[in-house]
Amino acid sequence: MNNETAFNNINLRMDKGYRKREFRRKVNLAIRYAILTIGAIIMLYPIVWLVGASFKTNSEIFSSISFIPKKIDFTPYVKGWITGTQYTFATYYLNTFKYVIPKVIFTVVSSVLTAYGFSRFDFPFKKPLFAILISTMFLPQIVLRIPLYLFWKQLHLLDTFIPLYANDIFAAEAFFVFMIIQFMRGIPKELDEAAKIDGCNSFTILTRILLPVITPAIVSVTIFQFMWSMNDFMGPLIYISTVSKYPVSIALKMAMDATSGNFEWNKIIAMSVIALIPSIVVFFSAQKYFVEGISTSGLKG
Amino acid sequence: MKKLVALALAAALGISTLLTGCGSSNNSTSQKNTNSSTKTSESQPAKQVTLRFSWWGDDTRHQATLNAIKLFEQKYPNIKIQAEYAGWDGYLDKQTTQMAGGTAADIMQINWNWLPLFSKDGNGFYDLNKLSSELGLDNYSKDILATGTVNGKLNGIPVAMTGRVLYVNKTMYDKYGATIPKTWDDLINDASKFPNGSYPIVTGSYDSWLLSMTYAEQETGKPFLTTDGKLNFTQDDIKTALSFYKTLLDKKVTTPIQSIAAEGGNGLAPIAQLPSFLNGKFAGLFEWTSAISKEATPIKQNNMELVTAGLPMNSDAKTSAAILKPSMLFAINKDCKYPKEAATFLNFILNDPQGVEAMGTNRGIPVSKAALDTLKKDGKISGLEYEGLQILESKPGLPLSPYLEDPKLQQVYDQTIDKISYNQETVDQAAKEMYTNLQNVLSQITK
Amino acid sequence: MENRRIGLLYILPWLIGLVIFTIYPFVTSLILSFTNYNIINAPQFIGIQNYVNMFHDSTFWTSFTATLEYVVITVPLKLIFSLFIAFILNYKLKGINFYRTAYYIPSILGGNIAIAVLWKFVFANTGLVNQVLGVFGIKPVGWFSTGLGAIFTISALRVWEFGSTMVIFLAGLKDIPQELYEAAAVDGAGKIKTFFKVTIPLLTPIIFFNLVMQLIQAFQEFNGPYMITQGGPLYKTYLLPMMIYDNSFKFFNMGYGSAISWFLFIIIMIFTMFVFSSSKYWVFYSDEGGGES
Repeated sequence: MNNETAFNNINLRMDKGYRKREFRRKVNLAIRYAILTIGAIIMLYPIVWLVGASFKTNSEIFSSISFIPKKIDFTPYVKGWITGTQYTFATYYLNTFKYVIPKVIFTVVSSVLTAYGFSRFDFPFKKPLFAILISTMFLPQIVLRIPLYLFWKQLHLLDTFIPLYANDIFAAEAFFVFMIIQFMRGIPKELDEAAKIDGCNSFTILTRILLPVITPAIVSVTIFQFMWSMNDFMGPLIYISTVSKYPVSIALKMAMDATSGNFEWNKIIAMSVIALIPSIVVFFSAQKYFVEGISTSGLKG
Repeated sequence: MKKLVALALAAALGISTLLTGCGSSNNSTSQKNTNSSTKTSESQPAKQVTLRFSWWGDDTRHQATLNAIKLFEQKYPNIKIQAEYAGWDGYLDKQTTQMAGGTAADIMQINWNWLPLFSKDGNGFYDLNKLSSELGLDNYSKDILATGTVNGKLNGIPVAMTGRVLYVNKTMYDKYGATIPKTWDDLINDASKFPNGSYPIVTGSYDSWLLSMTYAEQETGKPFLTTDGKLNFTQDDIKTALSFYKTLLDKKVTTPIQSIAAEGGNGLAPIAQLPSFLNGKFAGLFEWTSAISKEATPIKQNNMELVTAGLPMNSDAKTSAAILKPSMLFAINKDCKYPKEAATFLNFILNDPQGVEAMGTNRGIPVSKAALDTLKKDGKISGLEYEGLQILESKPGLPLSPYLEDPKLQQVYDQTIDKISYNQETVDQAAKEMYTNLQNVLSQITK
Repeated sequence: MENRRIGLLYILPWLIGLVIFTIYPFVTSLILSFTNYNIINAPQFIGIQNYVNMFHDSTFWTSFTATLEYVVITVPLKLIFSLFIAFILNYKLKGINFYRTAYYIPSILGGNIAIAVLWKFVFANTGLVNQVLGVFGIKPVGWFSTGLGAIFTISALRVWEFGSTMVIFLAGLKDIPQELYEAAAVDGAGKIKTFFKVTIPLLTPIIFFNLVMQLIQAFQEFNGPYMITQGGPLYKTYLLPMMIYDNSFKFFNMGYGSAISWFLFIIIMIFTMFVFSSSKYWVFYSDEGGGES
């Protein structure tokens, strides 16, 4: 391959049109980067503004959209990390991970299994069951809040992290199941057949053949569930009442109380910047799995 | 089909346990209590008690309260207070869920307008009259205790009072040569001195209704709602209020809702976040005394000054119609196992000088006589909030209905005000519609 | 036959969860929709009264109209936009990792307080959007003070937070075998032709998924109006989920809130069924061997 292109290059260099084409390619590339960069600025502006605002006074924040503060002072960050409660942000972070990590793992495992069942097998009542799966997403979750709360109360599991992730052991979030089903259905069944002939059972077909192909989808599920449950505020608020068990999302809202006058926006914004960091890190490190076309190797194999 | 019926039955059973759940709420509370009591009972002869105390607030409030709890536990080593605090956002959701599940804390900080929601008949919370000596109720005036009483039962002790007062940006008023208004006519006259695009006051949807209602009550001498939740205004009285609002709009005394929405997304946007308020173009507001520092601080940061204008009254006013209500109350769970100990704690933070000093004024200026004396001695009582409260207390208005701030009624007020401001309806139409809607909502919520 | 049992085995966890976590609250809320339930006291059975009240409630109709408007504006905009960006971010360019993260940032922000503040600067009368429009000689638009304008501000928020939809598209694009592109190139197909003849057909299962999910999520939009417009002006952005929330947890009228929820359930079901039944005409699954290539 490399030799071939090198050979072609030499040939092309002889070609008078080469310079023209090379020029056009560069212009094309420049345009692509220009569009990408302008887009990126629009997308990044809020977070830049957020960082800027963490150094501003209340009146500065609401007076102008510019992100440049009058002075830089890191006390909001220090104050934000210490918080006005008995615990620092470190405690709240630890609490968050105590339920976010199990939640992500359970979601991935249970959703993949369920999706595999729906997409690759035929079984009695498959169609109505699939319809039920989809329809569990139709009802606004808030009306289910009180019945679920009473359910966990009966089990004496209030004020624990279990209500926050237990349902994910059972693939309760149809969004993820449906998503993986769609990805699995995009894979030709001949692959399974071939693997079966090679002596794979249904489980090894899943782990050896399908999973490598849908890695980007699994990575997406991980990213989404991580971020959504990091941001979830109502769930922990309802189920957790001991302050030492609060996650970051509640700690953040706690600092945002506007009932009395000492509402320091910069401190709150500094805290929300701190709270965003894990999500950004997770996304940045996970997105590299999109780069390689894992699927291609899977299909060839 | 059979299965469906069975499921429905099962769910119905679930609901019935839901209801009995309210009655037997001590489950989760007592669980913790027994835990801690078994641990310490050996070393301590006095009965060891743990009480859960829940409140919302900001960091300063948390710190002050935690401090007070520490002092209390030193003084009463047999009582442990488990603090459960959160921010305001979503707090009512949590409280509601806990009330429904019977898992609410033993001691609760509650809002005044929750009384009709959680305790329509006065049985939703513990009757504090039974604990009058432990609570030091002689520190409170009858009128103040009346505001926490439902159906003859004292459901909550008011911590502080708050009321609506006009505050104005003195820097801007001086700049345009406007007078600080004493009467409504003053206020209307001031409008002519302000340049185009500037207004003497800014009132959001809800503020606008309260302001107009105050005016109409002053004119008619009648309360808008009775304390038991009946509409006392006639359609004409409502029209008086709404025409007044229309005048304020037409004479450019107050900002139309559109202008607030344009800057803040909607007519209920927090005034402290409106750029035009921060730069002085909107030069006054009708605000709760307890909330005014939120607006005063950024104005000060912009080198301007907010001052108390008080409650405007024309010379023929029949009453001040001052709106004065408890800003928050402390209540005890009706199923609390140790009400006496809970009362001891409340007495400590509300009346005991040690507790009062620790708590400070971040829940407002306390109404307890003992607390007020202590804080006055320390020189902690001053500022816009206190000035506003003094004006309101010097001009008592009509008895305030606890239903005034019902969320569903607030929706009616906001809808009516918005329709007038957006020119969707004439004052006549709006008054007629509002009258019907108010009657409908009141019949629902007082049922 | 053996296969039939294996399939059930794989979905067993979900089935158990359905019985434990889903059926009970669903049925409870359905029953509550026929009661007068203020959360604190016992629910009283009142038949279909809540549903009757709903159809006579002018706020409900305003709210329903607003919801439909919002869905119709948001879903296509968001799908097209996120597919477009996903396509661009699928390029093999230097530094693409940085760009991918940058484009995902808005979605990470989620319901961050900063958004409510920023949105005011962007859509206020003298805000950024109107200033840009002014450059082209267009009069300022009252984004927050007109019904459709305000709906658009919420839609804009959701379209701008296109990250998760985009990521799913991107994952789908990654799943398209490179060989097919090479084959298309050998056949002499141009870029545009390849896009419509190879990329789009192979992506249809994912497009279908995103369409269904965007529909469901748009009908359940709560955060946008809650943060930005609070339902204003004149209830023109008072989307149904907000009305459900207000009735259930603000007005303590859980019965009515449940009734509206079940109405919304039916509406979403109708839309979803329509999309599902249309799918056989335009969605191609490789596992059926019917995929176009």
